[in-house]
This record gives sequence, C-alpha cells and structure tokens, in this order.
Amino acid sequence: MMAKWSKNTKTSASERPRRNLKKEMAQMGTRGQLLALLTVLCSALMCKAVDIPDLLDRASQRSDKLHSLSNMLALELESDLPTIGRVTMPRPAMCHTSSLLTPNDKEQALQVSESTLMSLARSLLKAWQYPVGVLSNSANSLPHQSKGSISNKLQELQEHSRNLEDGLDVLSGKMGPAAQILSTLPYRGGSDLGQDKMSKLINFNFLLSCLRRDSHKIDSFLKVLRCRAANMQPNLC
Amino acid sequence: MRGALVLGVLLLLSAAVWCHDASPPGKPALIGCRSPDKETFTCWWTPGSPGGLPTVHRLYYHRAESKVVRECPDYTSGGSNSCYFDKSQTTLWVEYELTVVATNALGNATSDTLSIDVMNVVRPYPPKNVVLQVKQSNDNPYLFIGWQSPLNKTKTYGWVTIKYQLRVRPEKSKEWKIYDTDLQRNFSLHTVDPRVTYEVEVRCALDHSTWSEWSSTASLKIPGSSQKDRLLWVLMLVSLIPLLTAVCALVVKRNSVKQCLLPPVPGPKIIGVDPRLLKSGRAEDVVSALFGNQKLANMKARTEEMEEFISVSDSRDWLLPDERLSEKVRSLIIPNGFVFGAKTQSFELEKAADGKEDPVFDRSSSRPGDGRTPLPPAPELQSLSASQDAASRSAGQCPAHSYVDIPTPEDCRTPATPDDYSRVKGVHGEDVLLEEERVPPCPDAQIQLANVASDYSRVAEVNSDATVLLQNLPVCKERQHHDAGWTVGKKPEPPGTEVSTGSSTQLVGSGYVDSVPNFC
Repeated sequence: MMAKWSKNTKTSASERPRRNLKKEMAQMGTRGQLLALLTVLCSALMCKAVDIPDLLDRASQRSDKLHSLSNMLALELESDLPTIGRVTMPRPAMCHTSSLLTPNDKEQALQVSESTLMSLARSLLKAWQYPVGVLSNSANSLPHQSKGSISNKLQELQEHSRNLEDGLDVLSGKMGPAAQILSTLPYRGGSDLGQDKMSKLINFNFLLSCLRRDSHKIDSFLKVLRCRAANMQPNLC
Repeated sequence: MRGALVLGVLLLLSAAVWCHDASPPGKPALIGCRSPDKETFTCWWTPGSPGGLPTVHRLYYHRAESKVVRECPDYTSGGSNSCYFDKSQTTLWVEYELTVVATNALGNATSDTLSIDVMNVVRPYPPKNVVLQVKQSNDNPYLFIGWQSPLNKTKTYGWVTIKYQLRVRPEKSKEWKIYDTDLQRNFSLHTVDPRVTYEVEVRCALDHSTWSEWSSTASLKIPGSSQKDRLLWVLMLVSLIPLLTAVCALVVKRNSVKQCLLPPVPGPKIIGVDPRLLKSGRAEDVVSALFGNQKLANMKARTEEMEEFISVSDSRDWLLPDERLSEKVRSLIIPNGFVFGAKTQSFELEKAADGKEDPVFDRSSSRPGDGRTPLPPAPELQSLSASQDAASRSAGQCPAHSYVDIPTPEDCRTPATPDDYSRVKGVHGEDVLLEEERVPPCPDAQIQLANVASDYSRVAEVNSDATVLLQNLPVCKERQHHDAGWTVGKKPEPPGTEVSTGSSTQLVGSGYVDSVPNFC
C-alpha cells in the first residue's frame, strides 16, 4: 500500500484530484443507495416502534381525563341520592357491560396480551357511545340543583370519549388484527331514563356508577399497555 | 351422686354470681376499608358493647355475583379488629358484601352489611422519608426536597400511576403553598429567604384515588450567610477604614478644618454705623452711629427707574430743632430703606451734632449720559427735611417730575403738561390768553424738589459774547431760587451771574410757547 501510495505521489498535482474525485463519486453512488435503503428500512421498522408509545401515552391521558369526569359525576349524584334510591338501585351486575369478561386484578391484567387489552378497552368504549349521549340529553331535565354543571361535564365526557375512540382505532390498526376484535355490548336502556323524578334520578345514578367502573377499566388497561410499550421510559412504570 | 349434684349447684351459683353482668355482645360496626396499592385491602370495624364475656369477632364476606360466603383470611396483619385481604383475595370492579359477627358465650351480634368496590377505596399511605437539603445555585440558596414512595414495590407496571403533592410554608406563616410534582420524587424550591425555617409536607395519590394523609413535617433553616453576603461584609469593612481615618483626621484637626470650611463671616455692618452705639438707645449714640462717618455715598437707587436726588440748599432754615430731631430720626431709621423706592424722597439728613462738615453728598443718577455735573461742594450740607412720611405724600405735594421718570401720583395737582407748555385760556383776536400757570405753593420747610427745573435754566438768549440769558422758569411764589450755578450750554458761565430773576421772557426759536412770566 505504501509503495502504491508513493507511486501515486509522483503523478502531477493537477491530475490527482480529478482521479480521486471520480473514484469518490462512484463510491458515493453505491454508498448513497445503500444508505437510502437502510434509512427507509429503519424508519419503516422504527416508525411502528416509536409511534405506538406516543399514541398510547396520548390515549392514556385522555382516558385518565375521562375517568376523572365520570368519577366526579358519580360522586356528585350519589351524595344527593336518598337512601331509598340507593336501596332500589339496580345492582352493578345489571350494567349492560358486565357480560364482558375482563381481568380484575393486577396479575391477570399483566398476563393478558396487549391485543386483548386493547380489544377490551375498545369494546367498552364503544358500548358507552350511545348511553353517554342519552345521559347528556337527559341532563337538562334532571331534577338536580347543579344540573348545569352536570350537563357540561357530560358534554365534555362525550367529546373525550369520541376522541379516545378515534385514537384507539388508529392504535389498534397498528397493533394487528387481534386488537381489532370488538365485542358488542348492546345497551337496552332506551333513550328515556324514566318518567318520574325518582326513577330518573335512580337511573341516572345507576348509569353513572356503571360508567365510572368501565372508565376505570379502560384507564387501567391503557396504562398497562402504555407501560409495556414504553421501553424508553422505565421511570414511568 | 349427692356430691355431684351439690357441686353442680355450687358451680351454677358461682357462675351466676360471676356472670351477673354478662350479656350477649353488642352489635359491631364496620368502619370502612382501604386499599393502599390497588392490589390488597384492609377493613376495620368497631366492636359493640363488650357484654362482659370474651367475645370473638368474625368477618364474613361474599362477592356480589357469587353466593359463596367466605371468612376473612387474615385478622392480624391489619391490626386489631381488622381484616386484611391479600392479592389473591382482592378483586377489582366487584362488589364485596362484608359483615362482622360478634360472638360470646351468651349469643352473637351481626353488624350491618358494608358493600364496597375496591376501586373506590383506593388510598395510598403518605410518602416516606421526607428529606430537606439546602443547595446552592449561582450563589443563591435553594431548598431541595426529596422523599420516597409509600409503595413497597417501585415497579407497578402501569397498574397504578402515583402522583405527589407537597406543601411548604415558612415556620411562622399559617398559609401553605402547594406544588404538584406528578411522578417526581423530588422538588427544588428556589423562592426561599435566608435565615428562615421552612416546613414541608408531602402527600400522594394513585391515579384518581383519594389523596393520602400529609406526611410528617420536615423543617430546615436556610443559612444566613452566603458567599455573596460574606463578600459584602468584607467590602464594607474595607471601605470603612479610609472613612475612619478621615474622621480621625477631622477630629484631630477640627480647628483648622473649621477655619477652612467655615471662615468667619463678617456680620452685617453698615459702613459708618456702629451697631454697638445703636444698641445703647441713646439719641446721641444713635445719631452718631448712623451718621458718624457720613459716608453716605453708598446709598444707591434700588431700582433703575427710581432716581433719587437731593436738592441742596444753603439756607439755614432747613435745620430742625434738636428736639424734633431724634424723633424724626427714629421714625425714619427704619423706613429709610424703603423710602428710597418711594416717589418722594423723604429722608432726613442731619448734620452731625458736632458740626462736622459733610462731604459731598452724591447720588448717582440712574440715567446715563445725563451730562449733569455733580454739585460743587456746598459750604455745608443743609438738612433737608421732609415732615411727611411716604404715606402723606398723597396730601398733595407733588414731586419734581421734570426729568425724573417717576410716575406722578394721580392726585398731583401739577399740570400734566410739561412746564414749558401753558394752557390756553382763550383767544382774543390776535392775543392768546394763557392760563395762569399754577405754580405750586412753596411748601413750608419742604424740600424744593419740585423745582428740579431750577437746576436747569432754559436759554433765553445768547448774547454776542459769552453771555447767555437764561429764561426764568416759574418758580414758587414765595421764594426765589438761586440756582447753584447750573447752566446748560457750552459756555460755562459764572454761577448765578446772569440768571435773571426778573421777567425775561423771550421767545426762543425753539417752537415752544413762551412761558408765562413768572410771578415771583
């Protein structure tokens, strides 16, 4: 190599740069192609990996907000419900979503696959789309002193719910077909919550308690998913 | 047989005696449950009235959907009158129906059923080991607060998301300031004052659970001095040294400093007036004090418009008797200064009692280029007295106003027209009858300032050789003035020679109407 190099040095100064340039150009051409390929592949692979944690983070934040609202609403109405109402209120097992089997403790939740968790969260959310609308519409005729604030919170809740649904649709698309399975949980309550004041209040309370539970489930599942996907942020888990 | 029967009766009697207070147990009451980590939970109850006999409490529960009733798995881990449910026993989003039964030898009592969902009773314990430290950042101290999670296992895998909140206040304040720190287990507070003790408390929550209790208070005092403070002190001390030396020097040499900074200021002194004599109060002293030196040349006109002058007469009639002198002097000492501005010169000069000759009394005129020659030294300065004060000038005594710019008072009776004009009374054919010129009566013992014109004489005629006929201007009726030799003109004349006292009115080709012959 040294001999070669020394030979090259004997050539004229003007010729040397031109020759080197040509070589470099050729080398660069192949190198460039390789690089381009690599970047495309990398981005294709990494896009998926980078995108999902970020999306999950956003989804978790929204579900957190959703649960906060439903919690506040349920507590607000529960405090005003007379004892009679509490007694005659339907059991939580009567919630229209109770047929859905979900993990009920930490161990179970950690054992369930990500796709299942996503599917469950989406199913629950979808099941509440209509009832939340009913609640929102009935809020103004509710015999309650702070029905204005209740109505506002319900509207906000509805918006969050819709946004979360859209976000989860996108996410599930990235996670595979298993995440796309939806369980139908039909609501049979009807558009009207009751004829008289008491039944209206009771039904309202009942629905809100069911919603509180389900929003808690959704929030917990999404946060577990977020933690699992967030390899870059170990401090979060 | 009989022995056994007696024993039995005795036992029953003793039991009856001992247990006469016994009763079935009172009804216990479930207080509540708490899940500190969303994985386990504990429930507590209070027992009812004791009943006197040893009572056993048992907790039974069943989950909402199932009918299977189970007993509490652990009565000890949570303390007395508690039931602890571990991970395997805890199910979320399911209603637990709990009841406590108190049993003793005489009976049992059942509490009311408590229905709980574990998700609703989540409440963590307060954070542990709150630590305070004072740290420096750019020479500014700040408070660093650190603590630990109450959860034993730090890895929750997203099942719970803990968030923290802390509150700080200075020791003596009653108001807390609250800060949210989310996931962080430390916090830096920069708004701290030195030499103040701060109290800090921290609490936490899991997602949207109830907040825990506040941790135990941790307090720390921010140290007073920092590097900056120390530097300041050093600088201050260094700057004080030259100051101290300067002060010492001043103190030592205070006399010389006094001389330098505060030179003795000469007291106000009127030249020629000895203040000591004034103080004595005696007339002679006052007079001598005021007029001892007679250097009155310094009395100048105060304003430009005002012109003061003195008409000097060699008549001895102006002398006032001595008795009135002191009175006058006294009354005029004070207004003297003010009178200079007055229209009338009402001042009084008195010859010194010892008969000193007064030097030339000169008053500078405010009018430049007057061409007026100073008065030749009079043989003696006559006293010119004005019996009126400035206030009485309105009595009708008009000041001279020929060339003085002093605006005359309105009640002046002298004609508005200058002296060389005469009012036309009437026209008779070719004759022009002129009004009798009103000549101001001669004031008795007054200053003849009115006749300023007497200082000047209008040239009536110039004779061939050095003779100038002066026009006699109307003078007062009683007296005649001998002008002290004022002449206007280029040819100096011996004083008083050619001044005609008679009526020599001649037309001078000056375009003026001749003045009426004087009536004096």
